[in-house]
Amino acid sequence: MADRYPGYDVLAKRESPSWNAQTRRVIEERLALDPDRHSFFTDDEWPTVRAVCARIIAQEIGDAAEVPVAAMLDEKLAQDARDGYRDSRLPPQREAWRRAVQALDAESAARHGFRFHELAPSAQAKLLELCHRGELHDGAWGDLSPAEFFGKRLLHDVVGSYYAHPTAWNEIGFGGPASPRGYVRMNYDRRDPWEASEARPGRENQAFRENLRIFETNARRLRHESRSLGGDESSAGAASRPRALGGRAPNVFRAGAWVPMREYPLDEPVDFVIVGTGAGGGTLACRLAEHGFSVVALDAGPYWRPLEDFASDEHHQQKLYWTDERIVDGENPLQLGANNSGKSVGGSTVHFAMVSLRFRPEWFKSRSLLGYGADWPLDWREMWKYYRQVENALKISGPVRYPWGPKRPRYPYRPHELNAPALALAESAEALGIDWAPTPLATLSAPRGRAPPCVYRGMCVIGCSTNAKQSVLVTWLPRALTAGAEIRDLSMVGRIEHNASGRVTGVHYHREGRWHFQRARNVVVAGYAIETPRLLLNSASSRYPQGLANSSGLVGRNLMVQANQAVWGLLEREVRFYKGPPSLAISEHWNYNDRGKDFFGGYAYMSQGPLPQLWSRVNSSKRGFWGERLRAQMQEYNHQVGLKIVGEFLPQERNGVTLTEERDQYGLPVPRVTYSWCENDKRLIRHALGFLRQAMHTLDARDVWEETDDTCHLNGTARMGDDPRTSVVDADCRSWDIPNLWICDGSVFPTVGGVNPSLTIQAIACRTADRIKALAARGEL
Amino acid sequence: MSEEGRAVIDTAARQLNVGAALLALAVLADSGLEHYRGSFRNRAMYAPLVSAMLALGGSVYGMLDRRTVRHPVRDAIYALAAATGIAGLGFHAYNINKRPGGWSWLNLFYAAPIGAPFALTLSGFLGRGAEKARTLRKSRADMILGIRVQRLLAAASALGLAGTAGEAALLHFRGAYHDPAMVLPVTVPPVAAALLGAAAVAPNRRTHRLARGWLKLTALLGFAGVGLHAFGVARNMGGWRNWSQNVLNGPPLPAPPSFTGLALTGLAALSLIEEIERVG
Repeated sequence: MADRYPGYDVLAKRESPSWNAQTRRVIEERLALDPDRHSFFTDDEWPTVRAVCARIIAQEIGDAAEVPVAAMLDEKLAQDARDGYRDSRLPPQREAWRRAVQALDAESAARHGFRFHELAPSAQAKLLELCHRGELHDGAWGDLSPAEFFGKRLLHDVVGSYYAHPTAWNEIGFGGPASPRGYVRMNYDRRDPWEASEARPGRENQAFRENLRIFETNARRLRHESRSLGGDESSAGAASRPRALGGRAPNVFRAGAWVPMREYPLDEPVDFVIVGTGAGGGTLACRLAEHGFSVVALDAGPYWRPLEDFASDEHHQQKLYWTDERIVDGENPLQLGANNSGKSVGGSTVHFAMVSLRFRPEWFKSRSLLGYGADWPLDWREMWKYYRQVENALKISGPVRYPWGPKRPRYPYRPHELNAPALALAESAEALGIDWAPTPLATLSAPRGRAPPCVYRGMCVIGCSTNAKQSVLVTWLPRALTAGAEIRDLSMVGRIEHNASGRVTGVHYHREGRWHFQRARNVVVAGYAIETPRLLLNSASSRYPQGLANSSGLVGRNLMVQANQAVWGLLEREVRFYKGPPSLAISEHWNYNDRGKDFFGGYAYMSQGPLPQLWSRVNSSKRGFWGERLRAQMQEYNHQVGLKIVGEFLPQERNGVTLTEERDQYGLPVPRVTYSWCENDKRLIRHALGFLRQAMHTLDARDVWEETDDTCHLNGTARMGDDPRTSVVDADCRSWDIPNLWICDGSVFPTVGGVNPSLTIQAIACRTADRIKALAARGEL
Repeated sequence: MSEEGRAVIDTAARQLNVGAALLALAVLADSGLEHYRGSFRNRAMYAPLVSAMLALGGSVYGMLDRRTVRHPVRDAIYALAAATGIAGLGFHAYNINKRPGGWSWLNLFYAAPIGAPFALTLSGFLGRGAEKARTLRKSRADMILGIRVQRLLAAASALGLAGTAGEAALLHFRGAYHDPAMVLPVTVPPVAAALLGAAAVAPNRRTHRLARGWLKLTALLGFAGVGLHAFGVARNMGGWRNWSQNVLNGPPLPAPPSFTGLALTGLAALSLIEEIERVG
């Protein structure tokens, strides 16, 4: 394989400002991993596993540069670290791997008379090829489909491990860890002195010299700077031990620091207990506390201090995602976890892409005005006021003039500079004659208090380690604490209790290995569109046998994800889409323009910047690439460009969340998430892919391909409405059935529109807090 | 002409050299940093560095040169600086225009700064003024383009201050005026510029006194601005330890001294008006 970045070594930057202490710790551990170490696989299975991994990655066992892919896989299985979803056709991952390894050996023995690892590499590859195509039929597979295993389990686990390793980053010219220092030069064909130089034909020597310079610069640094790991060593423990205890909570703006936190006893009812601290729950906790209510907010995830806890590393940062198992089925099973679920105080806003868009006004009455979906019981003009409130609270950086929709006030902060992929979107939009804009983003373009502006490190979706990202964790929650709210981290709520009169009385939650009960006058469920119905359904009782708030039978139904299809291509110019927030430019043309559409709804599309691990998984799972072909494709990383939609899927009662018989680590039933696209969804996707292909064509991109099946965001499952028979909550997010039970998150959306939902969720939370205050003043709580 | 009057004019002339030197220094540092950030993609990006360095050298020479004659080399250097600045305006306008969005807020914020090259033109023009000032005589009406030289210099300084304040307004708007101190350069220099302009049009003692006060404040602000911008760099992620990023992405350290340079030329022009036109 050609050395595209000769002499480049991300490890040369280990002592530079590009690496923080947590990153050094994490990468050091990975580098220290013995390629032969295994504790999950048996000594008998191990040679087969290593041989399989070697073929998938096209590397030689025992090579000095061998990446310990098999050992990383073994580690994952030993810890049983899940991905957040499991196709209903596959058994749990450990069982799947065991059976597949045995089956591959059996196939090999039957065909060649040898075990898999004893075969020549070409024969091994041939066998894996057959597995990929589903053409293996040995009885050892049992009910495990070889093709399903290969596509959904094997490639995902093995390929992702390789591209989480510095050796792979060097190979593809990825900048690697980038915090506190990010990037300065984001235009086409530009690189900072600390980025890899590409050996284009004729300039191999120059590239080598430039890459060597990175080394030399940092060798000097080594002499001048004593090395300190620093930071709070206990940060590794944040995931297992609660931090918000003893009258204090982590100060998210300073390493190792604390802020005072009010605490409430379990046995005295608080005004509100809120389940979840994301865009819905965290925002509501803040606003209710500021209105003078006593508030306890519980979150299943840890309370991070981003500055010291977050590494510049995709693999490590999976700790932010909701990776507990969920069974997925339907005609179009969802991928959950990374892209749509968070398990942290602050919820998925800790790793969201920060895109902060308002709904198109008509969408609030899409049934009456546009003829599809369902009407919201809210007026867009009122929502416009709350959007403004949230945009101010998050200091959204957005364009001075927004090209679409009714006039809106100026965004509090100015737009960010565009990176190359965003420029590509802009160029293609202008070539096609449609509007584009810098995306309104919840990341700072200027300092704010203790938070610095964005450094364009490009790792937004694995957690912002600088606090430039205006997540709930660093905006609403510090305010909530100041206003007297209590936040309990690592607290998983399992059940809501009610009394004989049917009113709810508090929640059972699991913390530090025990179940507790917090009494409350009101309970707000804000766990997002899977955990919210899961909790309501799991709280079923003899009085409410269908689950709480479910007299309509709609709890768990009408789940809506959004279309997240993309078109990708390669440019001659260097793009380096690892720099800057991933979606710096946007076009909402097809949200506001209905001419020529053969479908209901709309879509926005944005520029993209997937990091190497994710990008390798996209290439393996969506294009079926592995071995040499994958490695070669990944070497084009710095020339890759893409456009991706956020598109409106329609609500369907068949899509939703139910409970299974399987139990999770808390002893709670594992949810089943069912999803199938309707004809309208498919028409929208066809339209979008056709349009994006045209856009890609204007850029003279080559190797253009369509990613046809990705989705993002979770909404619905407890919709709001005007009629108790056709909705779960009213406009105030109050459940129709139980007057002191509220739901405040993306679950209440009757429709999703073609924009990212976080701004709307927060606007609804702000409105709900104001409504609760008004209702309380009238004695109607 | 009295010895005293001659001394006032000579001092003012050399003060014009000082102002031109400060402007050239600011341009040298600023275009050096910004064009380094732009990876010197175009060879023309070296031009302002060369030209500003020459203007700086010429100005320092002028500051030390007590002879009362124009110097042809300095004259040539200043002419080159003025011309380079004008060419720069053209290049920067081209850069903005070719980007997607054209003349949009986004490109005014982040493409080549449209006003920046004008500082080099001002340095050249005011430097030429310094040379010309050496030959001025009391009660004699030396004219350029039908305008008395000293008044033209005052007007040019006023225009320069207004333009520089305009650039600060644009870039501080980009920074959303997140710090109250960011309002200073868009309030103090414009007042000084207006008073200086008034003094150029209709000199009188009261206007001069006020203009001097505000110009001195502006000169001070130019110095203080460097300190505030250094604080701004420290507020970025990683602070000064991450200088290789923050010096480029944070507030530009060399920008505020332009105010000092223009305030000094403004003050010098006021002295010339007072001495030559016997204001007061």
